[in-house]
Amino acid sequence: MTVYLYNNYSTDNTVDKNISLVTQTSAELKGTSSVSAPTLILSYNTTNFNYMHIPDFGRFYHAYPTVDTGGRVVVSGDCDVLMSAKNVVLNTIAYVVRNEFMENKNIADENMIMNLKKSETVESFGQTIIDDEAQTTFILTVK
Amino acid sequence: MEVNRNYYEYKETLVNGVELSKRIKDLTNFKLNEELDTSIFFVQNNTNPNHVKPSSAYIRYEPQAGSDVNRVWYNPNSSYGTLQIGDNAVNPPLSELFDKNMKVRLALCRYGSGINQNDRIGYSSTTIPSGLSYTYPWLNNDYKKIIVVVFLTCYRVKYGSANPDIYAVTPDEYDDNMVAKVADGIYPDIETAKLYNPIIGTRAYIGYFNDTTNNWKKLSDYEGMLFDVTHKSKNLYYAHNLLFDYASSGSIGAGPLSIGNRISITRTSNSTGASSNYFKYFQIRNEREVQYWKGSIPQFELTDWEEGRMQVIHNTMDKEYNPDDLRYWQIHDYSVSSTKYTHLYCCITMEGVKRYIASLGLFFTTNGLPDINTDLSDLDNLPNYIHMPEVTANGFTTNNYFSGKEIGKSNSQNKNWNSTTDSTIKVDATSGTGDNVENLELAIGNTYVNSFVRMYAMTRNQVAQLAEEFSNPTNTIPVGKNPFDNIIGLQQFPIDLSTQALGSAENIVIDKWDTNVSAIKVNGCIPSRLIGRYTIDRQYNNFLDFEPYTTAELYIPMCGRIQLPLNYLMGKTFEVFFIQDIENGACKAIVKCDQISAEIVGDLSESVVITAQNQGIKKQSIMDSAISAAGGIASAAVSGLTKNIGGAAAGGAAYMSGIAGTIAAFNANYSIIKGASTAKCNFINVPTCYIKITRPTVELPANYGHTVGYVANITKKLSDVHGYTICNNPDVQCNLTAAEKQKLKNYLQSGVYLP
Repeated sequence: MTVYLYNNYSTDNTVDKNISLVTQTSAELKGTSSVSAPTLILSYNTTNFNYMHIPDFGRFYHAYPTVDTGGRVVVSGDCDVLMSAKNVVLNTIAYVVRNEFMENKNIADENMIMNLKKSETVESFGQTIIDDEAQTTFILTVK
Repeated sequence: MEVNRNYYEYKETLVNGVELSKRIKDLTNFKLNEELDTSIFFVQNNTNPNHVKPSSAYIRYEPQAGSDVNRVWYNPNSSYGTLQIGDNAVNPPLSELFDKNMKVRLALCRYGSGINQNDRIGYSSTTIPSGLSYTYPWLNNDYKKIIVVVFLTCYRVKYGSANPDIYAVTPDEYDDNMVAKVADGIYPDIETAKLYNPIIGTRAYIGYFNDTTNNWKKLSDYEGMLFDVTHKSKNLYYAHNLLFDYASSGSIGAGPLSIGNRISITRTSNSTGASSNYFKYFQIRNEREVQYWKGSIPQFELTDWEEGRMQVIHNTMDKEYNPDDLRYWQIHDYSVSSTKYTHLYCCITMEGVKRYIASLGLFFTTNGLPDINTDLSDLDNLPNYIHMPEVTANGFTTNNYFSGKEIGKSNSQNKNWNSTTDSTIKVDATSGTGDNVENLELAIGNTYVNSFVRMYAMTRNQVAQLAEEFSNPTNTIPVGKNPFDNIIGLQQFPIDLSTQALGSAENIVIDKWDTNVSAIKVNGCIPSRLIGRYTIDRQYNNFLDFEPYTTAELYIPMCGRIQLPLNYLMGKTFEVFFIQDIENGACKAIVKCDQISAEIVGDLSESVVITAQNQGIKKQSIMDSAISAAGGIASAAVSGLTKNIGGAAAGGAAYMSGIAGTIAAFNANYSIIKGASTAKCNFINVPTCYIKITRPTVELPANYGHTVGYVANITKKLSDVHGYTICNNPDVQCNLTAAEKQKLKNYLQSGVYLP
């Protein structure tokens, strides 16, 4: 089967990963493999990759290459579900709880870290009611 | 007028992390030509505030000669485009173009003679015409010396011998023309005339009254004025929308055209459509969201082509529109030899034109500029072609207007404006906060003093004079009168009431004893006054600005402290009214921001206890006893004339002769009268209102959004969401294995980075 080997520079939780193609090669399944975690014997003799795509399985994988005693490069794959289902994910309508750019500012964010010391602002304003300079007034009430 | 904050506040965040400044809503005192916080500059497509397109190409600033204030010309984007999926934002954000400490001011300048999309009224200015510099000749900004001159763009539909044409007239000329055409026999009646002369657009010019030449002139390309026009809500129209452009939905007809044109459907077939599947069913409608400012085509069917058909379709099926949008569509079928044409005209009613123009907030005329024969100085006698928009107490236009002499009778606040920058700095109660609060006016009830008593407002010196009068041996207290019995009380107020219109000066009369001491006899006793106004600024522009995170405590002299309801007051201006009850010494403060937000009752005065009064009464009682005794003696003397009680009589006579002196002597005892005060602790107090606002201190890492994410609480297609995202229980329909789907779900629930 054909395998595309890449270098992935993104974190695991990135949907659309930043990958650069290393090479396209052929491979054979080693033993009993699942599509989620296949093990392949590559016709490629270096391990300078960490990511791969197997079109036959329709999946992208985090790749863990090793070299066996015969000098063959054996790679274990762990399905990258985000990249594999990228289009489906992006077409999904979901309830977005948190986001990097969208912010509902009227909802309390419990994750924000607040300093116990609060800032205080004291500001006077308006007219003076009790004027140091003004004389007081007496009101005499008589029958 | 006031900035419509609703217009400026968007929830959208652009890709690539471009931030939209939302701090404009912090501005409670936004006036043109005043210094502004540069952070208000944000990326926005003026043509549709709901869509944002970053653009830095249209903004520039220049130093202003002799000033450290720089003038900014800001034209965010005059293109029709909006940021679409896949578009990249321009970096850096506009706000980064400015130094935080830079002082700027906004202004309007003109570009072209008409109001069009290149003009920016209200919050920004145009692109700078070539050669324009910061020494721009600004005109007088007298609100009543600026007028919008309205023109209609009409389309003459082919009718009989009347050839098709596009022409411009003033609204008043339009009506006159229709009457004339009917009189000429071109059209059978006014209704038909108007049907075949639809108003398909409107333009407007700004005129100003030139004091030098004493007439109205059109604002030229190189004249500018500073003013501030805003609108009640975003579905009203800004000046640059006056062209009423619309977009075709695409497949049929032309591309985006001015409303001054039309959509044309051409059929080269001879078919009438009745039997042809190809032409049988045209359906034109908005398949996607159409920008509100653009005309949209209501859904209708062209099931048949009919020579000469004129059909009116009201724009009621399109929910994108404000129901106040007084536009409609006309269909006209006609043929040129074998070619069939259908024209779709987007029309606007005359009332619609006026209402759109009224949304600008400026006086406008439906007559030509040269025909204006008033300078707007006599608002009670304006001609009917002069119209004044209605402006609410909050400074927003309503699309309603007053015409002619109605203007003088109206209560619209702009009637009294002198400057175009006479903004009313009040709270936007309709800015989408969820509040629906009526501006409650304070009633002023009858505050006359109780007629059974007399009250005198006295200074300290006058009180001293009165005390002196009591101790004056030669005072004229009538015999047998006890002035103290008539004194109800003496209260001391820590304020100078002499400046308040309480009454007029009179001599103090106590139980018919004219004391010869003059004081103000108080008639009204509950004067109220506005003692302060304060705007609580939002600091975080999010939930942190509200309780329980932020709290505010208001102190009012003589009344004490009260916790303010920040849920309503945050970001708004409240006023403090101080009501003082002179009769009873009480006071009350009302904290008002549209509604009554708080009331505090306090004590304004302290009673002055005249401790010697008791002694005086005691002495008086003694004196009364003495008089009684003397009277008895006198009586005895009179009745005992035949009795030899001469010694007693003589002694009584001697006693009588001394009564006056005795009274004087007793009165002399009043010389020891001293006002013993109660505690006047309240007199020593902070003399003004003050507010204490306690705000949380949040320490967010710079990459908080990228690593933790902000609370979004929104349901969206994930392709429209970017960056770090956490979803709740996402339902992703895909053909992965069950374990993989669970893994995918776990990722989305714990946080992923979306492209």
